[in-house]
Amino acid sequence: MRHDPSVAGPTDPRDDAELLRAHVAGDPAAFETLVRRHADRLWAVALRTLGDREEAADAVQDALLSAYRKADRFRGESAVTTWLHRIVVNSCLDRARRRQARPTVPLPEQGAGEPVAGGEDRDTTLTVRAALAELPPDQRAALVLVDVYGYPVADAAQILDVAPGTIKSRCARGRARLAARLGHLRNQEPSPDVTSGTARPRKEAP
Amino acid sequence: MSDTARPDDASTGVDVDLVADYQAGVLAGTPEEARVAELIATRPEWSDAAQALADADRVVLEDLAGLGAEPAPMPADVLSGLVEAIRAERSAPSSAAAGGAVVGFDAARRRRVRRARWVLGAAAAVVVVALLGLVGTSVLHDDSAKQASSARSGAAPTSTAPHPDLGPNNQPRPGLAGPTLGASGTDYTPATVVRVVRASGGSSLGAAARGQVPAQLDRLTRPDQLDGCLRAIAAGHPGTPRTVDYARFRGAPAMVVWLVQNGSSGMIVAVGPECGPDDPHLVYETVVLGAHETTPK
Repeated sequence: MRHDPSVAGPTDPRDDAELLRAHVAGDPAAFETLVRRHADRLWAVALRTLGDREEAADAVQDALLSAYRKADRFRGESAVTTWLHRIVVNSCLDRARRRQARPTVPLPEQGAGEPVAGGEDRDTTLTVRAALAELPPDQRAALVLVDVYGYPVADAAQILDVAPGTIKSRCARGRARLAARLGHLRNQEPSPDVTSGTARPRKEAP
Repeated sequence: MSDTARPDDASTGVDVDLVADYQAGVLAGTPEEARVAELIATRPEWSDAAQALADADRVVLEDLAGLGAEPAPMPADVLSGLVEAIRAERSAPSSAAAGGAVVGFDAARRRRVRRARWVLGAAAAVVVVALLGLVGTSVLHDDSAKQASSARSGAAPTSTAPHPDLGPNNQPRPGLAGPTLGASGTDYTPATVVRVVRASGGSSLGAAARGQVPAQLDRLTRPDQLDGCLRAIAAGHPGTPRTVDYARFRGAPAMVVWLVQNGSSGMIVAVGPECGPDDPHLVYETVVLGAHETTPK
């Protein structure tokens, strides 16, 4: 589910900005239409950023209700979808930072109704998710947006409200950290705290 | 980035973060760019690290793209809870300003959580069925017609006797379906729990059990109490219970449960003596991946 911005859903010809304006003007169904249009993308980012279904559900709900209430403050300086993502990702980061302060562990994402990959794919996915969950929240959010879901660096920078260079750095450092944790670096054993039964053979030096 | 550096980085002084930034073009036009370029060109350890990182980066990008290709639609119960919350907000716009909308939001959240629990409960049906099967089987072993009738009819067992899977002195009986129950006497720690539980292999836990069930965990040896506790665990954790050890965790009485998915992956959770249907009283949990595991930071 790579990033593919859309301006209008199949059931409502209005674009995102028009829907938001309609909501502010009192259209009772406009915000719900907007939410339904972007629900899957927002959910995917929240789920991969938090790694926990219930936390992601709470973060998304908190964020979108907040967006509902403060829609009149949207100034159109970014796309509506970027604004929604920013609110959702910030809600996720707040939760991730709070959780980081507690002695806890990555929780399972899997919940009812979610597709389950099988066999080796499932193990690989679990391994990557687990390693991702151990990154600092800021690095994780950047990686989820850019490298997992393909958002342009500029969009991720707007969503996270940092410079594009910061996004690039967070992604590069995050991938370096993942490489170490997943055992992908040559001449390096997998990190003892996150290792994989499915780690690929390390490449030989050319 | 010392915690992500290669093992020899401390001795070689290679700054992996700096190399990563350099390769990502983050340092372009800065004095650091020329400095790192020179280090990579002139110092073998920097050159090796840069090459290794470049190779690994391609693999990690594939891993992450693979994760992104996995479908992750918003679950129906989450979407309906969200829509419900928005409608509640919409129906009480004036109270929102006064803070009343929080009530609607919280109510919606509670409904969502209840629904999610119901759905999760349905998803855990396999576990529950397995547990009922375990109780039924155990009851038959216990030769108690009354309990057998209760278990077969699906009614909640009401026995206050220790779990029938536990033999004399609360030692587990071998050869029954469902999780193996044991009382190993182990005092687990985060550092040892995965290794020790996995080493037990499940089936050998019973044979290895020599200890007694800690008194505070007696309640959880009763089938109805154990079932309620395992239901609560199943609501928040995937997998089927393979072993249950009435033991200790960091010195305190705890029931340590190994949940298995896809053969050997899954989770290990430790719950406190208060574990029950509404709250597992989670003490600790860790993900187990194949032959290895992830542990908390």
